[in-house]
Amino acid sequence: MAGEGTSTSGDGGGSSDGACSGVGGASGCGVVAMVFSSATPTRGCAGGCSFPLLAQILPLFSWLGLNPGGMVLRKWIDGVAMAALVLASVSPAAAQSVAPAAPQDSAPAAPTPSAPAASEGESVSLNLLTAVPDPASVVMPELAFTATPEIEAVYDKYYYFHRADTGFTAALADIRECDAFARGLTTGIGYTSTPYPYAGTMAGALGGAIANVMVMMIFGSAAKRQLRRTNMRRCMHYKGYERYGLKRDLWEKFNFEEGLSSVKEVDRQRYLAQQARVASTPGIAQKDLGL
Amino acid sequence: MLVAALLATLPGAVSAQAVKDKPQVTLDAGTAYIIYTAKAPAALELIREPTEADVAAYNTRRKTAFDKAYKSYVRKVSDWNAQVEAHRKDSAVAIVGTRPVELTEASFSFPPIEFDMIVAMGPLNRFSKADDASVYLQAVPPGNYRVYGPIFVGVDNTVAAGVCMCMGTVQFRAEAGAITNVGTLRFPLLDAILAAKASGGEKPKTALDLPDGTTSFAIQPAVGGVAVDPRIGSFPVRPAAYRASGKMPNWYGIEVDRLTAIPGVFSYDRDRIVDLTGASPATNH
Repeated sequence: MAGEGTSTSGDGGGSSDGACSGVGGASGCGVVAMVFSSATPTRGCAGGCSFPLLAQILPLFSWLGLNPGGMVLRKWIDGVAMAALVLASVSPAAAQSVAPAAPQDSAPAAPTPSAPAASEGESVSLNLLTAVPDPASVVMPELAFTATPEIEAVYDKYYYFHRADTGFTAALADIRECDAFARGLTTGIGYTSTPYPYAGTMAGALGGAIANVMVMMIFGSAAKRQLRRTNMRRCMHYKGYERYGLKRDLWEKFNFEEGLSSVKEVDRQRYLAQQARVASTPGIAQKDLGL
Repeated sequence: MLVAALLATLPGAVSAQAVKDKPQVTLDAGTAYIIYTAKAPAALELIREPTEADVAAYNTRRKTAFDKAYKSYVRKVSDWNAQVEAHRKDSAVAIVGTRPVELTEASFSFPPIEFDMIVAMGPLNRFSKADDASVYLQAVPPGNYRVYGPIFVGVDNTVAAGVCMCMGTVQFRAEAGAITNVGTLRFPLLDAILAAKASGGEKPKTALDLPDGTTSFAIQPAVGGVAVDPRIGSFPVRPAAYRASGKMPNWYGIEVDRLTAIPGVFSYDRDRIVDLTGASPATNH
């Protein structure tokens, strides 16, 4: 095959024609990039190869569409090198916060149930991840606005989900499951289908954390935000929710983007509860934007 | 190649060896093999269902790691208590950091056993290659395999690129003494882009633009009795007998999708996967 042993550049990565605004697996079409990028091979090490050993694996990354213009490939080199340093210091049990100047908890407290949180380094109460608040206590966000072409142009980013005949509890469970898929951790996921009894729901935190570190360092914040949008839209669509456009400032009141920095778990759960309140509120009907 | 060597160094990973593209190949009657075809070089990640021995080995490794982490936790708690005691005696002594989070079996973070069960195939090491077809053949341990997705996996699972079929996929069994034919991997977005180019129509930009029912990844099951490669000779080749398989976590934090439904094998009722083979009840959600 022509692409073997070579790297691609330009439009070889499936990124041509704006088909993939992201890259590799973090884009909306990483799979296509993977098989598409062998179309226009150019030999060499675009962007320079600082590490001879890493240079050997660059041809492989060309298959993954990781070299739309050379920049991404350079980020890969830097990312892999940095990751090697970071991963060397990663410890499965290293879930403590960075030491602040003043103690957050000045005396030993009784143990509380905790779990490796989605945000690396954050530990949260298990109750926070699973508790279902009284929907009456959840602030219903403002949804009314007058659409303009400018507002509609960014409906791919700013939207909310809604499904008829759905209760708050079901909606919150759905949104939490999709959030767990989107954040790339097993925390909170209803992983009940495994036919063997040892698949711990928390066990994947380390793998997810490492993968996220890689994604962050290599692809940057924008691609990670886009990845979250893609995963949330797809997951909620599969669950039968409709997607309605929303004005950005209204959207920001009960949604969050997640790029290089994570959202605090308490804030995340508050937002998710509000999204569930909206998703389950009867009588809301707009133009369904689809997937 | 370096990458192949790296892939082979996964701790606890299942032993899987690609069959090289050589004029003559020797297949072992005591070994299971998996084969698939794609239009272009493509990766496929499979996850084998662990055996009791796998589980025992995993539990041992996990316990060792937990015990080590717990010792560290106890030491940190001791340090913390010493800090607090010093602060009580002299408030001028600052307390640095926060109380260590309690380490329990439930909160202990350890790579899941599935990470030991990964069989990564492609996109390198093709068994045969042509302009429009790449064939991958790999020796694998016999067992039940889940299709996790068209994903390239790096050493220690630190690199993963592709799309996981976390919201619905298939499983099949690979028996020793036979080649289990997964069939043809299809990438509907690529197909749609090529079709649009040919027709002059509007090209979809991402897999989100695909029509309902079509996802970013599909498998066209193999048909029995079709010759795969003359080098295989009389070695048995059997189409994978698929069954539905439920959701799996997005361990890598990559793009999430589900396998396009296969008529007669499985379908979807919203996000619930429905097995149509009668071989197993519907799974998960």
